[in-house]
Amino acid sequence: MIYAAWLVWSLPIISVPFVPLLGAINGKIRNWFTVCVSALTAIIGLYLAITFSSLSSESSGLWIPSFNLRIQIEVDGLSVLLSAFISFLSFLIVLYSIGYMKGEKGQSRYYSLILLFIGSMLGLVMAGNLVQLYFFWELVGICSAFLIAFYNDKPEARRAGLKAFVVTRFGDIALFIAVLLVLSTLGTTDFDSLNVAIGNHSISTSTTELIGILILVGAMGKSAQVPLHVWLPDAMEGPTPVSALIHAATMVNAGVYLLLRVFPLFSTSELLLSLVTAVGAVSMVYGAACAVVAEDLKRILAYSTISQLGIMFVGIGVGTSLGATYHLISQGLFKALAFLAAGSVLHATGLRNVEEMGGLRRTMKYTYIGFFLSVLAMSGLPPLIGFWSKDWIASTALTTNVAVSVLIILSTILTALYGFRATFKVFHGSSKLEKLPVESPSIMILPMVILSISVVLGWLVLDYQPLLPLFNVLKALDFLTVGASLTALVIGAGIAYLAFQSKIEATQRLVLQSPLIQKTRKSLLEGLGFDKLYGFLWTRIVLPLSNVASSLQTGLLGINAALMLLALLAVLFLLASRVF
Amino acid sequence: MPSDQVVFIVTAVVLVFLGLASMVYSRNLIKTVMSFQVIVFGANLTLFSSGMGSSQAYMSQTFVLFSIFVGASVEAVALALIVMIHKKYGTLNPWEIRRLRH
Repeated sequence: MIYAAWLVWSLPIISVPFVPLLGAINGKIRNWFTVCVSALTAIIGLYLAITFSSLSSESSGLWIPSFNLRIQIEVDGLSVLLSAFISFLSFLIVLYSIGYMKGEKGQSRYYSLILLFIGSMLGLVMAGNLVQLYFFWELVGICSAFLIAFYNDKPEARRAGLKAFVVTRFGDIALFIAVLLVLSTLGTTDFDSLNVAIGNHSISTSTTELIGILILVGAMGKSAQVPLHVWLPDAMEGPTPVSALIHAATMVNAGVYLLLRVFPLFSTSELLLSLVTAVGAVSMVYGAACAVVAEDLKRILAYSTISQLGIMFVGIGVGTSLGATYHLISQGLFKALAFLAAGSVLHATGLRNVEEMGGLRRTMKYTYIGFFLSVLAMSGLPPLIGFWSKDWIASTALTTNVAVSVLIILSTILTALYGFRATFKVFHGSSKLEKLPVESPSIMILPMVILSISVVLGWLVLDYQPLLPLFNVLKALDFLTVGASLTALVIGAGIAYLAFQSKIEATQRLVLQSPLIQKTRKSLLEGLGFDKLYGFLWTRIVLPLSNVASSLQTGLLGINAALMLLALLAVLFLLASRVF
Repeated sequence: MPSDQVVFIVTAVVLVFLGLASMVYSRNLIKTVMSFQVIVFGANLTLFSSGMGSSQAYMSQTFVLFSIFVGASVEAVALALIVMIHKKYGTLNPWEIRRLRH
């Protein structure tokens, strides 16, 4: 039995009730208890990844006997690698939280939810069957909704939490139907027998495709792909460490992980693969384009996440599941770094709008270096970690689907553009603040430094484990794509330099003179009207229906009892007509 | 189905209907609780009679015992609520207590 694989997800979940108990005694003990638990989880995760030798699947006794369901864990290269990555990243984010959340109220709630969030994400990654995965999938969704709405005295935060919950629900329902379909066709949902059944074609093609499409919709909801992406840009209402956790380590990776886990099912069908590619390509370009105009620093990063997740979907769609895994890890590292740096800026200035900042580079050196490294990794500068994964996917796309490869290059231009734009606006130029802020406390700097090192050297570490050796990456890369994406990086950075650093007045004049640019900017700022469309559907269809339903409920005991009596009479009448 | 079981079930159905009907007409919350108890007795009777004639009749009898305990505690909570309601509103007529609605 591999104890570490059981412990890595059950330890944080078991520790959850102790957080408020300790919080009742002393806040400091509670905070460091959370840090210790997450550090221990990270150690177990790393130990699991180091000692991992062969894949195995283990199960407990029966959980729900009538479904023949067991609590299972799946220990293979993917789950081991991701659990090590998730627990490591979560530890850094929890450590950062100690500094960031200092003096906030409701910290017991915060830390217990964070631990539950981490534990359920690790449980999701380790789950050996679809039902168990779905269980943790829902837990992750609930935790993220509560954490987004953490500042529950702010109406926007409550609304954003509700929105995240409702929008991802559409995906969850699809996944739930898919789980039921698998259960009814195979009689079991564990991944090993699913892969065997796919391998020897014991499921018909149409059923496979139906299951695949439903799973894809589920993954789109969790991983914020167009058109179910609307919750992610609003999710920044939560505290910044929560955003970092959602964007880098836990929530949005769940969808991509699900697709990677059932990749054998997807790879049997051309239709499914091209659907995944299409969804990913649209989100990739959409997210990058919206990030170019967004004015809120955290919103820029949120759109960037949508775009990067799109690249992972494209990677899965063009058939390189390993490339997508690599990008999941590199995106997690550089996005966590970007969010921690953004949180540091937010913590120091209290501002989120990039137009109101500037010149922060002079006083916030570590934050600046962290953010800039993250931007460089995001836009794929070798040898930072983003370069290997993105160019792996782009190179594979070139061999299967040239148009997608071109789109990846195009989105690289946009990525460099928005990344450098944010850097220039926040850290360069003249400050629009009265007084330059001081750097954040060292407990917030430390995670950023560790993440900066891992963004720069992470590819060397990944070389030491069996799933993603550097040799495979180098074999997959091709010079044409690498050259094109480096050119794209230079073009994007150059445009950003001209427009937002050296020729600011000329750019403003250009924008003022051209109605086309203004129109595009406005519609991109609104996210191309998805929110408006959903708002319209909500007020015109859902609200009237709910009004009808609520007017049926009078709240008067007599009337309710009378209705019950009538219903009982009707049942009796039906039974009597059956008998006689 | 043994014939005395039929008698039990018919009695239970009559009890449930009487309880619901008196709940519709009651203008006093204490009477509402009493009619609620009548419904619970009907349900208990059904549960009790369902084990008749089987070798495991003790199972249903045990459940009925549990149900009676639970019913008693529910009644205690309901009566406590009624005391609070009377303190707060000065009335026990459920048609006049409409604060939850607005």
